[in-house]
Amino acid sequence: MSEFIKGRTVFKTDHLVCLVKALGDVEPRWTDRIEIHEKAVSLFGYHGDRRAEVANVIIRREFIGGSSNDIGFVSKQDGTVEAIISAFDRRQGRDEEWMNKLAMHYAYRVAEKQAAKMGATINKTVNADGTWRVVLRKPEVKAWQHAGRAW
Amino acid sequence: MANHEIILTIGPGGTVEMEGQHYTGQACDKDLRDLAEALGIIEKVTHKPEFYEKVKLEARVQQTGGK
Repeated sequence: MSEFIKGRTVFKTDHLVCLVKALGDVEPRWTDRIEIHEKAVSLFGYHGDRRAEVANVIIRREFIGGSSNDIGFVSKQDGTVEAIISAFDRRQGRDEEWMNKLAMHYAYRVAEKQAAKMGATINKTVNADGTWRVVLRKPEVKAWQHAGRAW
Repeated sequence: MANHEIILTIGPGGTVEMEGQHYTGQACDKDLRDLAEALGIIEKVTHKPEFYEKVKLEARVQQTGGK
C-alpha cells in the first residue's frame, strides 16, 4: 500500500519476446527479421566468418548494413541476457546511448506483458524531461467477486 | 470503486520508479513486487511518507491511551 520501488531494469531470459519487441521499437526495419532461438546459435562476422560467440536473439548483419557483424543477445546461466555487439557496430551507433534506449523500450514491453497478466490496461505518456509515465490500471476486485457470485 | 493503479516512470537505461495508488491491503505490495521481479529489478523498497505518518499516528494513539 505504501511501497515505492526504484531500480534498473535487467534483460531476462523469461522475457526474450519483450526484448525482440523492444528491438523492433528501436529499429523498426528489423521487425520480423529478428531471430529467436531457444538454444543459442553462432554469430557471423562481416566476412561471413563464424564467430566464437553464440546468441539466442540475433539480428543478422545483412539487416544492419554496411560492414556490420551480427548483433546478438545471449541468455546466461543466471537468467539474465547479455548483448554481444562488436566494437565496429558500437562505433556505428549501437553504443551505450542506443542500449539505454533499448532498455527503456524493453522495460515498457515487460510492463505491457505484466499488465496483460494482471488484467490491467496500460497507458504511456512522455514527460517533459523525456522519461515515460506509464500507468497500469485495473478495476478493484472485491472478495465476493473473487467467489464468482453476483450478490 | 476506484481503479488500482501502478504508476511507473521509465528513464534511459531502463531506470524505473514505481508506486501503487488506490490500493487497500497487501494487494499493492504483491502487484509491485511481481512487476519489479518481471523487470529484473533488485528491489529498493522505501515506504511513502504517508506510511510513516500512519506509524507516528498509531504510536501517539498508543501513548495517550486513545482508542
